[in-house]
Amino acid sequence: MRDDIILKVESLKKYFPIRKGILQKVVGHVRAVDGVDFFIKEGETLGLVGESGCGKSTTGRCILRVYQPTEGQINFKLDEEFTDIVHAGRQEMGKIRKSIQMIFQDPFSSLDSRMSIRDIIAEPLKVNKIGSRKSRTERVEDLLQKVGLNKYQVNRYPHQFSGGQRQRVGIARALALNPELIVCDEPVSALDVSVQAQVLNLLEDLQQEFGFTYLFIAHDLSAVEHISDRVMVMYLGKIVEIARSKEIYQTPQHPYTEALLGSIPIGDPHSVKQRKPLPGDVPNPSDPPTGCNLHPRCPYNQDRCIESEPELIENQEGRYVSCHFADELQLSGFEELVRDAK
Amino acid sequence: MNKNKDTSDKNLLEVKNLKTYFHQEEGVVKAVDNISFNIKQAETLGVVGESGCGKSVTSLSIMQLVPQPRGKIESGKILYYQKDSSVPVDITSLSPRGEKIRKIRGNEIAMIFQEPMTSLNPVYTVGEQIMESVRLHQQSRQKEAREKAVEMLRLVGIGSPEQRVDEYPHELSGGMRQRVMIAIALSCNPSLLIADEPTTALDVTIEAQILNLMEDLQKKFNMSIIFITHDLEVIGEMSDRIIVMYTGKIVEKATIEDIFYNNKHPYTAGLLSSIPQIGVEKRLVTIKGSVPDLKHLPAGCNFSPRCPKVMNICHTQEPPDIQISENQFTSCWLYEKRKDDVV
Repeated sequence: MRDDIILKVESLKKYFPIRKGILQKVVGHVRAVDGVDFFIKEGETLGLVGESGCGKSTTGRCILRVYQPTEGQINFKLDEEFTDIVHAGRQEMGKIRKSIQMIFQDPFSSLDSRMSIRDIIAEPLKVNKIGSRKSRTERVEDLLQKVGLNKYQVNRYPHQFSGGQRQRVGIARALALNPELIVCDEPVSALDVSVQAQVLNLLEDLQQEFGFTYLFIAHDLSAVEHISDRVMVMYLGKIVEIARSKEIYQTPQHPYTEALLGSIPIGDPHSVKQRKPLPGDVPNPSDPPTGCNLHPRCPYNQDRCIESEPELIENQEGRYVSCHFADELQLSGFEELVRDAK
Repeated sequence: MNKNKDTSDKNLLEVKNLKTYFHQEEGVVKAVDNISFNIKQAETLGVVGESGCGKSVTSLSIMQLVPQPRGKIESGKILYYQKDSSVPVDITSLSPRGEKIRKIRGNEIAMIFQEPMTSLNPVYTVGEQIMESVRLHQQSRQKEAREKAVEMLRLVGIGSPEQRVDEYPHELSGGMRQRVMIAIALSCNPSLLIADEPTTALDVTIEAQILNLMEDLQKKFNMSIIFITHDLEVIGEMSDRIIVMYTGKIVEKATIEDIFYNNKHPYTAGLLSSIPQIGVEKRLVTIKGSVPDLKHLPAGCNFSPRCPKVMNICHTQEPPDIQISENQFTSCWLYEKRKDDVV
């Protein structure tokens, strides 16, 4: 991992309008992403975790400008210079999109069932007018081998592959343009347990070989811990904590992170676990609570949390947390939550 | 954990050599192929396996809900000991639409499903849906049934149940809908609850809430649970004993202690090593390949093409069920003491 920053996101917001009535009047906004700041270093894996509706996928999609952000800046380093993705023109965007690719959650719906594997993987090359038909086929065969598929399978169609193999095809397609940053949106959630491990290993191997940078979005905390260098936790459109992977699991500084760690199911009969789930549900993002978003569910909440909203501040070197009482709270890490009873 | 629960030694359900096949145009799919297990009173039995292993078809067979006409219970017995009788009923002998199974289904054996969004009816209030099973099975009147519905909602931890009882499913969050499903399932005080991936569609913090709730209710109702999931971690937390299934067959049956620390079948070991462990920085050991298509199963042991310890015999002959200890069974040639091995 190098220390150069490849992507810098500043006060990014994405609001989706809620429309009602015949005139489709805007009656409110779903604040899917509500002011997030973070950066990704070259060659690292940044894990992004949170529950459904916390805005993790929306953040990933804003980076590719699949969604036009409402506000904020996304600066991406292209040829040693930072370009703002949010305000980039058509031509610039074309260049940027070659360098940022995406891997999707569902390997069943993210591949066109009427295209052969060759056409699916060659499509990004074709769109960008790279190479001749013959050289593209060579590249496809090469990519198939890189992701652990057989090059003789190029003429097959998606339905002839299993879920894990289809996810490999999706990965090969993402690699076709030699990107620098790959946004992985829940890449293993839809796969069988034994196949998940294969895909996680593959992603790690490819990073080793080509030095990709990953934004790894997932709700499975153990998979995120396994693959990430740093982890970012989101709740209701906001970042609550960013830290190095080990630190966030050993010494969480935000009550929400602690609650997530305490919710991880542990099968091992020798561990003694105090399951203390957060009460209640995630609030509606069109009507978030006052002050700190977490206060209605937070076991440590005080008056200040209801009145004023905490900001994400660099608490220690490289650790960011948004909690008024981050310095005072004594939170338990994963090891303390799961005591070994041996 | 369930360590301190008093499970009695009396069997509640015995499944013997059950075969449930689906007859499709392209051939016969042996979704459940000769499996046997039992479940004791007040015990939690975990059933774990990947997609297509037959875990859901097993539960549908127990409920006599195998999709007709393609699916059929070919042979085997499912013996169920009813509340007030010592002679078991064989569920496989009952007609799927008959009076007898209807008295058991939903009343004595209840089920909760994975998708709380699709398994509730959107055009009825949650109260009406709870009352439906109460009125059907307990012949109670409208007013009593409504009181029961409110009580059940309170029991599963839904705030202000008097108001919620008149709300529709779309007004509730995913976690609350799953609580409503549990309320419906438990409203007739069942002896056996079959939970088919009850927390798979939920977020981790909500999952933890639901697992806590299920443990509390099990103690309160003194019922047995068959907990079906693909997630070994969840099943390890909930169960007393575990069945590991692969392509329609049981490959290992053991206590959770043995599954985690003394497992015998290479598939069980492979599943465990595929799960990333927090705080352990090492490359994941995977099972090669993927689950085969049930229509084109390999000869011999179904796991042989993926097995790291495969031997010649595995490619030709199906492994027998081998007893390792009192409570542990596995179906693998590795543990067969053949005569020529004994010197």
